[in-house]
Amino acid sequence: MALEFNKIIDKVERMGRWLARRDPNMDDRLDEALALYEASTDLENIQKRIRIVRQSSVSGYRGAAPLDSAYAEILPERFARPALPPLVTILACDGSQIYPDRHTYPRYYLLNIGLFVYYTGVNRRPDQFTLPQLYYTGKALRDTRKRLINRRTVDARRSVREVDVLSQHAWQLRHEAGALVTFVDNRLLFFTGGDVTGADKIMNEYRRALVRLHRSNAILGGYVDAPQDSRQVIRLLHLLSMEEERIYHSDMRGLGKFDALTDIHLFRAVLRPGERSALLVQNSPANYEYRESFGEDYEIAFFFVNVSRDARPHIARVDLPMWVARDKAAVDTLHAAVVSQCAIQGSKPYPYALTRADELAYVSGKDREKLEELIHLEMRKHLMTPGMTPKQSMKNIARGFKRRHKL
Amino acid sequence: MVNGYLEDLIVGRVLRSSTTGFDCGTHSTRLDDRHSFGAFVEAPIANRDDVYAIGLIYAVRVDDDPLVSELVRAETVEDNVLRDQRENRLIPVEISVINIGWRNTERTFPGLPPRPPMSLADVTACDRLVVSHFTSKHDFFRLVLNAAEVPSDDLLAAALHYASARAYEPDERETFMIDSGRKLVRLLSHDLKRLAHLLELIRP
Repeated sequence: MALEFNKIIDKVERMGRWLARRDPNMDDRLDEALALYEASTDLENIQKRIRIVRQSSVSGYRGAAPLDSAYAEILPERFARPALPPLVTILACDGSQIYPDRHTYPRYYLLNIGLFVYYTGVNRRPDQFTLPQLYYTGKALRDTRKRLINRRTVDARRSVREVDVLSQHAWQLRHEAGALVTFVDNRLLFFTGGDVTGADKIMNEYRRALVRLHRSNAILGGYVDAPQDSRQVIRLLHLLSMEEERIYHSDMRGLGKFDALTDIHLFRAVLRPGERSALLVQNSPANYEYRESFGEDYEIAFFFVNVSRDARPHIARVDLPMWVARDKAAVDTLHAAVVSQCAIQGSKPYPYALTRADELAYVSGKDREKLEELIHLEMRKHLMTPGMTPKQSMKNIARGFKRRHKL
Repeated sequence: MVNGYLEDLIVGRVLRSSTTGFDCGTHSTRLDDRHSFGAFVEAPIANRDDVYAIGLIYAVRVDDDPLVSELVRAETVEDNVLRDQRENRLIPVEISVINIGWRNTERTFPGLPPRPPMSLADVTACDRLVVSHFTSKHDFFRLVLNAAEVPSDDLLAAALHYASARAYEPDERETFMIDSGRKLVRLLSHDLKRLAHLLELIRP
């Protein structure tokens, strides 16, 4: 039975009205936040409040913080798009997967990594690579309790493999002339949840990949397109709006009067085309862990950037490790590379190299069917019978092609 | 066979087929004179490697690509992006062929082949000897002129120009085209408007 749209249409209409609703005080709140943002030029005052929320007696603050004094930028400062250096090699990596299916035999999962290399300042055809890996052994498929691994484990392994592949190619290109910019389509503050099998090993691999990128002199950027839920700078403004005494007694998880605002609301109003915000870091246990375990060079900073070329702003967040954030020329190169890559795709500003890496990595439903045909052929060569559970088999039959009968 | 020789001849590989024609696919970077409208191509029929369907290319389609649509909206397209799109990306091209005859190792025959080619069979440009043998008899004209799904007049004219240029010596071409025109006069004597149009199209 297909979805009965007549039963859902009124709910879709209600959803539309709900989405269109607007906090009547939203404009006032945004104006207030903007005024506070523009007035927050006193770095010492901001650092003082950050020191307070970092005390063990205060918890819950997950907002932005300035970098250490030597590298800190004034909060409301805006940076125009710098010129791209004459020679830049841009590496972008993305991944796709086929998850293991407990209803089919044999069980396996697949990671496919797409890597795209784009050269600027030289007439050279871009390079492209795909690196598929098939995992089918018990060790790869089972957790410590011999259960089939979950999707979050596959996602985590894919994320790490993306950065690992990126780092290996960056290492090979480390002696190329010009700057080496590397992109992933994800935040850099990667962390595994408790339900991920082999979490420690995965984090170690991620760390090794970051170290290799650092040693390759790569300018690493994690591109986060339209981060709708990001409120890190709004949280900082909330912190700055509070009386100092109240900070010690408040739940810093909340956003107070700025509850309806996001960082995108703020930066849509602030950043002109091509401009970036000040560099900031996220004040969180995860980032603290990066700094303490991985080293100071590996704490993750970020900036917001308006990648649009016209009056309609499009805000992205770019994560960068501290080894990049402390190097002004590297930050400028990353900023310029992001904006120039986004300009390639007309009305849909998004880095071209990441679009192509995604295209290379994507595993379609047809690809999956062909791969399974190949696996089944191999099994039959070895006199084995592929199969699926009766449940899945019946589901496929019921969902499958239906012949239309005409009277 | 010298390395690369077959690659030089291959027009594409069969995607779908019937006895009346077939579609084949290739990569956009390989498009050249072999894929011209009216070109003579052949493909081995199912389960025989010594019998070939002979056909004419009547349509070449470059599939819609949403990424290209976005790129053309940008103010400028960088050279390296152009190279990436043209040389790296798998932009599929489909070529449609109408069957007009078949051949074995000894001779050619007008009309539909006994069986269609199989999927993934190599589609190659016809050898000049095959084209000259096949076109010297003009028997395939009626099949093309009566084909409803193709632009038949333009296709026949393009095929005659292709054959004249590729399969005949310069001193034979005029005779070939005059003989072709005479055959058309016989076939289209009941439709003078169409005949006049076709004769105009094949005028050297």
